[in-house]
Amino acid sequence: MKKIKEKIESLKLSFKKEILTIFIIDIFLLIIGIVSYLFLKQIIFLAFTFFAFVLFSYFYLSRYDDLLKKREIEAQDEFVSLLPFLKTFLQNGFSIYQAFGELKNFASEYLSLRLTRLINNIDIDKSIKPYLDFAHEFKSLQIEQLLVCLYQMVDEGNKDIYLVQYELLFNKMRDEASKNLVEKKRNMMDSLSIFPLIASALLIVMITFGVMNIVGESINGI
Amino acid sequence: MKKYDLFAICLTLIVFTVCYLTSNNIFLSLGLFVIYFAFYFLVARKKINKYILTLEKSSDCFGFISSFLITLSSKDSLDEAYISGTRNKSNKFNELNNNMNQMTSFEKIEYLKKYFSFSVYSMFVKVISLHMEQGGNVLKLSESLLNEIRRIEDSINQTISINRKKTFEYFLLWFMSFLVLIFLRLSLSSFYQIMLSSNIFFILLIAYYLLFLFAIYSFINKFVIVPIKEETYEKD
Repeated sequence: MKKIKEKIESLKLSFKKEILTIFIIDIFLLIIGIVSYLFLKQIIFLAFTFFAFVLFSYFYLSRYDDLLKKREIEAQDEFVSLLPFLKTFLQNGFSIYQAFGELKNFASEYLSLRLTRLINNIDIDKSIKPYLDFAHEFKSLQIEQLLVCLYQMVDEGNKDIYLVQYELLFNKMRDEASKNLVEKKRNMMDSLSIFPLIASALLIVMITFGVMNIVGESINGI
Repeated sequence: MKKYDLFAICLTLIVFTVCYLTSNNIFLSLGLFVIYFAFYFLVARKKINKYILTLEKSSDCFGFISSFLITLSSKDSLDEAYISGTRNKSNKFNELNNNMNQMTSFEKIEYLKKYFSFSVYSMFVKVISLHMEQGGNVLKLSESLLNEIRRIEDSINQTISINRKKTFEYFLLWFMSFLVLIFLRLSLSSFYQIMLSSNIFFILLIAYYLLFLFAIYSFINKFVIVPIKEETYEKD
């Protein structure tokens, strides 16, 4: 329970509200089960609603892991989408430290916190460690390479050479991100074709029921 | 009346007609007609309008930034660059532009942040203010910004083309499905009437039309996704 609470709070959701939602829906499911049992006198309805109760609680409580993963992916995409701005600041004579500071103004609250942490760590530690720590939060090798390149820019001072190196990495990442975005949209639209398929299945079920009904009636008639 | 309004009304009427033809129940058909109609005007229309406005704004924004920067690099005048940026824009933009006559060009650019609520526009304003402070070649300063705009434009164009293609495919599949139902009703008329007398068949028929409504809802939700975020995180 403590772990779930931590997850909910890290997603900036209210723990009380989430538990109350599960509680209300579960009570509602149980009431449906009990009422169905009392009226229809069939234990299967009670068993079915109990099954739905367990299933709903499990899926509702396990969705926080997916939400956390989704947030990580969004933060990574957002960081990649901010790279052109970082490059613009660097081209305009900003130091890496200043450029990250400016970048915070364009970032979401979650990414902005990470950038603040990076800037604070750079203040304390002048080694490559703050850059690597920041890169490791994204779990992307390309971001790690990019941050190493940025550190080299600071450490060796020859900005122009590293800007070219940065540009190569950056262009690759941005092109991939744009391609992924279009691919994601295509997959999303493709997934919609499931609905006409379900409709066709429903039509088959309808016809089967209709035929069974006719056959049943004619057998009873005999 | 807009093109998509007409399409939605036609679709609602088709559902009403097919439903009446397949259920022989005017109350069910009218009920579905009202639900579909209300769904379109209360939910779907807003989403489609927002999608079209975002596309219009992004097109205006990218055109404005490109023209502005090119003119500024050649003439080095903010006023001339601003006038060049405002050419051939949407009516909504022109209306807004006409209300800003009292402002200086830079104030207008700053004010437009509220209209062009994209992070690339905020970055553009930042670049212009940097150029005003430091000078230098503005095209060089904004090189990666212009590349990014080209990238986003390209993604948007590809998205629009996917939307067009998939819309056609999706509604064609649904049309086939409706056609099967109509054929069943017309070619096996007496058999169909007996099937219709079954309660389960009738409930499944209602489920079919509700599934179609849900399918349209899902379609619109996915259709309106554009590869550019409208909200900006610019805090200063």
